Amino acid sequence: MSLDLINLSAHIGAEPLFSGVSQSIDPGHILAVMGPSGSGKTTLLNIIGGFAASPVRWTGEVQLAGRRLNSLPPQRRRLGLVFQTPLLFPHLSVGQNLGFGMPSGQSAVLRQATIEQALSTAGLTGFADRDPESLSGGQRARISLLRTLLSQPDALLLDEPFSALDEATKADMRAFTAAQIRNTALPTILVTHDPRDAEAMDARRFHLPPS
Amino acid sequence: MVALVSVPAALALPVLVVLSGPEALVQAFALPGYAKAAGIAVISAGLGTVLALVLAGALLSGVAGRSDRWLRLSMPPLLATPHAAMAVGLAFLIAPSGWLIRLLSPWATGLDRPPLFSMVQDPWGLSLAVGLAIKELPFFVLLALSATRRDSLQPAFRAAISLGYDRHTAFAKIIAPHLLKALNLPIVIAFIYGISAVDMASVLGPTTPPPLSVLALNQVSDPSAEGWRLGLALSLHLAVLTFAALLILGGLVATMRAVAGRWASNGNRRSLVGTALAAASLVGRGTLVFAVLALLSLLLWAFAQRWRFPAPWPQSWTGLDWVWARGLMSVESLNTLWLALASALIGLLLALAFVLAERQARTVTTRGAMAWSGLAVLPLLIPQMTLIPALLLIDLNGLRLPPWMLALWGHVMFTAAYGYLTLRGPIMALDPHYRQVALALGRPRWQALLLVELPILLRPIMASLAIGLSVSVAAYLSTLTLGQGRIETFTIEAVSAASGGSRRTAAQFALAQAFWALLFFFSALSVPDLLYRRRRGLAAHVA
Repeated sequence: MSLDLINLSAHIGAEPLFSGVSQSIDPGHILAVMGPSGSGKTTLLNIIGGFAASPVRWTGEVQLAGRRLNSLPPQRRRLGLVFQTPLLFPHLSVGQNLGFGMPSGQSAVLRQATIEQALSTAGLTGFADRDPESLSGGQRARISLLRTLLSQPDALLLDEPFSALDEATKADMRAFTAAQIRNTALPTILVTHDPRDAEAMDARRFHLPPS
Repeated sequence: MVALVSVPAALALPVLVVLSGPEALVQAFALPGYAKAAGIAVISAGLGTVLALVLAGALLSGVAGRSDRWLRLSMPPLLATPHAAMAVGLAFLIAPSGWLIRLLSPWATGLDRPPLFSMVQDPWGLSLAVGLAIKELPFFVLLALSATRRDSLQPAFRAAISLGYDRHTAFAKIIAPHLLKALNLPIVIAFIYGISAVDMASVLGPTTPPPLSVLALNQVSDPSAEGWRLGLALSLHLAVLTFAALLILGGLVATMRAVAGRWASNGNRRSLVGTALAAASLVGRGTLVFAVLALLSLLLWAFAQRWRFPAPWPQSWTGLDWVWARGLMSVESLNTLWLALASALIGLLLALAFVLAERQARTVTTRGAMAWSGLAVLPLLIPQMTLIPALLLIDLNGLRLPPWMLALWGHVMFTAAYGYLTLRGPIMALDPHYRQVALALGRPRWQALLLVELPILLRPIMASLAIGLSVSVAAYLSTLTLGQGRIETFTIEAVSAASGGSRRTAAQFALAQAFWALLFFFSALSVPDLLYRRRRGLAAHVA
């Protein structure tokens, strides 16, 4: 179940952004995409996630476990996205946010148990009924990652997930995220401008634009 | 569905041209009082809009850099009070035998009988202009407040203060030009509304001749085919007059902006404009007190049994039985309520459809997005006295809907348009990542919208519903003309009683109208507070 980028090229309008990006990420491995702002890091994630819209035009192929993703809408790609801000839905409780990510069809009791279990891995036992607004930045970041993992994705896309956190929380979140990726064995793309992220999480580095 | 809003507005002018005919269009010029009626229309609407704009600016200038809490809290009730109720209250406040003169007599004025001069229905429509200004004031203030917050103008203002500018000059040089730009469309809408606000004009406006909109309404009600065609011609004249006046207004604003740029950089820390704004800010506060007095006088007259001149209070009071019979369990009540609920809900759905279509179109081209925006507000860009008769004609020449359905249609055009204006900003400003997260979590589009985006937007959605409800409760012309006289609402009865001289009846209907408008408005606004009690991320100050 690897995530493969095959010869991806992108233009914004007539401006070329990057070209010939080919990478293969194995299960449980992390590719750290680095580069200055404007180099197309976020565009690359949008292409993979299915959110690339005009004026971005692109060619190439994205494959997940041999499945071609190019023409699938975002909700059918089975990719877990985590952004710089945790984006917890403010109208739902912490537990409801986690439940939103889970696939339907299980019994309510089982769902509740899964949520409790997830909360305990994050050290947030008993937080299910809390208002997301009452959580600290680090706690929100954990819930956001767990919500994504509970949706049972086949790969993870992390867009600058640590850049809004303070130094102490950052170290903590890197370790937590790396552990989750190892446990779930998901191929992961981490977009970042901080080399310490790649270092701490033992990621393979890839620089945009490719030199 | 969306065509419901835009098609009548798009067809209004051609339909009127065809059905009134070139003869009537020329004859209309020769109607007695035509020129003066046109003059009154432009003066009252233009003065009302400019006055409201200056007072709104002055009030904002007074709170710039300070707490604007009292202003934010006092505007919504004023916004939700229907035009007709405000007009009736204002008329009873400033009439020769009104509350104001009673409060001042005989100790200050020496009068023991009502004076002969009258401040209401003055020949040039000045009292009408004041009435319009009072109703446009909260519209401008609320929009300007949100523009100030959205575009973070406060730091710029503080920077000007620290450079040694006095507060009102700093406001005039830094914030005002920006606000004028942000209020472009609202100014146009307010002027167009004002020039055909027939309910307010029937109560506060002059009668010989009345403003052009009322003249047109009287003529449209003429039973003869010839007279009726003349009425249609007049409503077309009104549209042309409105657009001409707007061109002049636009020219004035452009000139002012050019001058203002040079003036802003002349280095003067104090200015006459600043002093004038300081004075106007006092007038603005006085105007708010005046509006409250007008509503209180409504209350007094609704319950006054006997009230001898010049006593400041009634001598005896009515019972409470009319409250039940007239305000709660009457035909008027029933009609007002179902029209408001139905048109506000349909209008909300249409408004949502417009904004979402615009958001979708914006990902492709800006031109497509602007087209949606234009279609949504089209009904507000044509004078009501032009649009409503045109819709009636469209109906009479083919659709033949029952009056209740046609009246509902008329209401929906306006609830949808105002709903769109309320929803547009918050929806466009919503972080698109919420939607992307929901999609990436495997939810289909409709769930991302229904389970994530709309609940987060509940506060602006309910605000939009609240506006729709109060717009419908206030609607006069659409109920009267499209309901073909068969749908009696509080507005209709209040205006007809007021022009018929029945003071107590008018006050009671106007009070019932204001009561329902305010009740609806604040109930809708309180829904998010109840639902999101425990969600600080969606507290009022965030939305």
